[in-house]
Amino acid sequence: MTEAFVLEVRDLRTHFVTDDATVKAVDGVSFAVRAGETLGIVGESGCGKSVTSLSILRLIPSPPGKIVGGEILFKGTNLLGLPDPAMRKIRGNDISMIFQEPMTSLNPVYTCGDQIMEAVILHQKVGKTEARSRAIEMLRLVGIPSPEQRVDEYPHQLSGGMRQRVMIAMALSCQPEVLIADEPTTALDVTIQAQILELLNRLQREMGMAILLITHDLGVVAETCNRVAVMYAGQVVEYAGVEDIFARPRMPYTVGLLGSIPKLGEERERLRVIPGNVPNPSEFPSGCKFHPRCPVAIDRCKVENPPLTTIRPGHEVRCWRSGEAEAGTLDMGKAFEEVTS
Amino acid sequence: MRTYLLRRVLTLVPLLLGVTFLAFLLIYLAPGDFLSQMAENPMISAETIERMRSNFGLDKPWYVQYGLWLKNVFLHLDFGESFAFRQPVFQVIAPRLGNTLILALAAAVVAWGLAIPLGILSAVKQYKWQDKTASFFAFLGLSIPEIFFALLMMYMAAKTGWFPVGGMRSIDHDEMQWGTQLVDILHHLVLPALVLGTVPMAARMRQMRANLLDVLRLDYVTTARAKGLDEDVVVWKHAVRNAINPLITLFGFTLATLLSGSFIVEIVMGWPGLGSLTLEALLKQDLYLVMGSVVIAATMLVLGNLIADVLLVLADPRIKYD
Amino acid sequence: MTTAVNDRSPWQIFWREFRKSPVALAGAGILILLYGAAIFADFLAPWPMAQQDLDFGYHPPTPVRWFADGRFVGPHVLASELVDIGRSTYRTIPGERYPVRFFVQGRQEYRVLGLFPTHTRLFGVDPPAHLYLFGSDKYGRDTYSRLLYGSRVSLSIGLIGIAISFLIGTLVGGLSGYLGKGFDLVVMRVTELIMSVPALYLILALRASFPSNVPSDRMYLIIVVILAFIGWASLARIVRGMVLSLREQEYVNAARALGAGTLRILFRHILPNTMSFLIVAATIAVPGYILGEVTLSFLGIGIQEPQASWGNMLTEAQNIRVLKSMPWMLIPGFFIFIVVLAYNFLGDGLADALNPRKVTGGKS
Repeated sequence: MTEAFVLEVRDLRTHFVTDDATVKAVDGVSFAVRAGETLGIVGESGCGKSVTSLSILRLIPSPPGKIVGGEILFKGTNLLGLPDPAMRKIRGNDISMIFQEPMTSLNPVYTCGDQIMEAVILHQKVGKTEARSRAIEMLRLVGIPSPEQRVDEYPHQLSGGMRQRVMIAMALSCQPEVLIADEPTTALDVTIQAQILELLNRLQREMGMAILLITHDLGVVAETCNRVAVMYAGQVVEYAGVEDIFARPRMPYTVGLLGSIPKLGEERERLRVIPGNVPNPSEFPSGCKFHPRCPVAIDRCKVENPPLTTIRPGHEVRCWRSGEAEAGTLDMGKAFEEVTS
Repeated sequence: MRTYLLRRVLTLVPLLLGVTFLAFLLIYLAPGDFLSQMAENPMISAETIERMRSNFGLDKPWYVQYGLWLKNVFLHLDFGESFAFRQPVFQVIAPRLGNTLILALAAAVVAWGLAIPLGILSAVKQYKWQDKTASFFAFLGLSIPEIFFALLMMYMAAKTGWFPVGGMRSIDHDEMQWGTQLVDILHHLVLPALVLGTVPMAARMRQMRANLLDVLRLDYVTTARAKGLDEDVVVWKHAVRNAINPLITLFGFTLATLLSGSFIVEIVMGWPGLGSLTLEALLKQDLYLVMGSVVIAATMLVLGNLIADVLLVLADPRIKYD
Repeated sequence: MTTAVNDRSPWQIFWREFRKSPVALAGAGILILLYGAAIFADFLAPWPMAQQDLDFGYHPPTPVRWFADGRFVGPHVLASELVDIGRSTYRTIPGERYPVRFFVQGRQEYRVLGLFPTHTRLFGVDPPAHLYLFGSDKYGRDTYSRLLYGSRVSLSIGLIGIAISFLIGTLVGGLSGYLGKGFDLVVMRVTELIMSVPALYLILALRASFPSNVPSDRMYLIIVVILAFIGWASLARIVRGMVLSLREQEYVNAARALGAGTLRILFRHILPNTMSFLIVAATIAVPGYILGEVTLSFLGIGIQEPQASWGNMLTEAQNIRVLKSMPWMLIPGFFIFIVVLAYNFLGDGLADALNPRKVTGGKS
């Protein structure tokens, strides 16, 4: 089975050590993604999803960050065991990344073309002329009009959406097998968001790469993902196919997240929110980390952190009461409505 | 860009008017004049002094003198004659200005040539021993008074004999081949340039360190790393290029302050530059020589700032003047 | 937990932060020591300021000995005699030991803090021996004693200069920012003019407009006036900028609505808020004033002999022969360096303490 996955993360632990405390930003995260598939990693800000994505490329600033455990398997090779030069060959070539802020992710003093060509020249061992035509071709591919002129323009001359397209062109210029997209649409206008997601979907069909989509937006997940890993306080709390997540969520946190999306045609006085706040990463609660905010928490949740359990083929949940929910004896959604009303 | 430059050059005119007026006023307020010092010499008769006084125009009210000076400057580009040297002011100033320019440029090279690599090293090795050592010396460099530093270097030169003790040329300079002459001047230049360049070097180093640390936290640096670039390329090509921009602006400014700030070094280390000339002229109340020096110093200041702007446009594609 | 922090007064918070920086504390300690030494210079200095001993010009620092014939006998010196007057070389005379005496009665009377007349000085040796801790100058004057007396001039000029600049700068800058319009326009043009001329040129030009030979006390005033005249400009611009941003704040509007007058608003509500920043700016500016005096006196157009100043004490070291054979003549320069360093340390520490930037840990 493992061979089918291009990227597999097993029990990843990334900690930040400061003078005052050790922050377990990522604490035992596992997931896997196949070629041509999109895996969504969902969670509120501070849940460790960005640290997870930076850990995969080993771009965690160190100190204070350090990957203290786990494996990151790219086509069977553990990236955490690679020497630096070999890791650099992977970055941008086999696994590449785009970021949340297109305004600040491009270097202001180099032209878009230069920045795309840089990766091509580095990884594909081609000359400048060829790299340039490759850059133009990539810009055309990501839907930038008149790429022959745009290639010589500086980032500040482009709009936010255009810059994100340049970022995508840059990330895909070496035809990577995995694209990590960290909140790629969060900073963009809603109409542009849809265009970028559509672009990512189309490029995935054409190029066949796996996409790791980091987002806090369940709408984005519904539109693009095949599978979803929901993260909370540095751990995956629910991991399932996208239909299961939306139709049969079994972790109270996921239920709460879904409940906070307003739906058309539904009459509700106000938006439901999950009560409480995301816990401070340096002082996570004991037991299940969600229990202080959970409407169905029992005594066991306060002392013992539940393991990730398979409740159905391809659907794993980290909750002591997921069995009851699966059996239909517990309605988590209703429990949330009661606390918030 | 061209109109911008033109506008900047034109702002020089009111500035020069203000500065020269101020200088003229201050010299007028000073008790006595150039000739009253001469009058103390019993060899020179009172009639001679009086004749010279009217020749030089020193018998007229100060505002008339200033007006005449301005008129000559604007109509004939004539800045007057030095009383002491009996030569047109610019003939006296030109060689001295050249020497000061050499010194200031050398100091700028010392300052920037060391500040930028040291600042980068400090930032890349933040909190490691390289950073701590460099930062410590930067603090010392910012604090050491120029007079003391210059004297200390002179003492070192006198004790070790590694460097000439002051001056710009050896006694037998004129008999040398031009290549040896150049080496001779460079040899004399090392210590003054070091002393003059230390403060700007320390200041720019700290600035470069802070800028680079800021830039290294930015998203596009992570982008560059995510591309698979070597860390050296990330730092030098992507981060340093951006971190250096604010310093480029300061280059012109530094040059300007070096030009005007060099006279302590010139006096202590015997460098025959504009600064020591100006001090002498001021003490002797050599009116037009002082005025000429002031005009040069202020012009240099403005030109330095102008160079800074031009350099910034060349370095940062986001900036445009029109 | 957080209430405990909020309960503290700003001064307590400041002190807690300030104490954390060993460098800033060292700076403050050095300055307290040096200013203390300046105040008690008469007591600490074995010689009066201008006392000469022409037979002992350029005498090197006298070593203080503790042992004789391998036995501890307490601090003492040996007498010395001139060997070569041209090169100012001396030879110690072996034999008689002259103990360093404490609380000796000097020949000249002085007043402690200007009030209590006394002859007592901390230490001294009996003639014919000389105790030159830091060597002597051309006229056989004790460099150590002159350094102490000179510090009165060189160290106080910075404080007085900055105090005057501070007053003018705050007042003019504050009014300029608060009143705006014509007053602001004029003030800003004047400060620009002052700041567009290189400071040392301006100092020299201003100095040239005063007579060249005046008594030291008047010269002291002239130097203070010159330095303050230049220094207020940059402070005024800082204050103006801060006032401009502060005057639009809610609490200023509230005070205005309550009918408070212009000056009252400025002094009670706006300027206090600029203080912490100004204190840092002033601390960092003091070395500039000290160096201003040192430079003028060094060039021979500031404090005149026989009054000692750290600047004019260095003038002799310009002579390369003196510099090479009598390196102790550089000691005043070393002290100037230490003072500037201490002010910079203190300024850095103050800036950190008044503006604590909390380092945040890792984020997700």
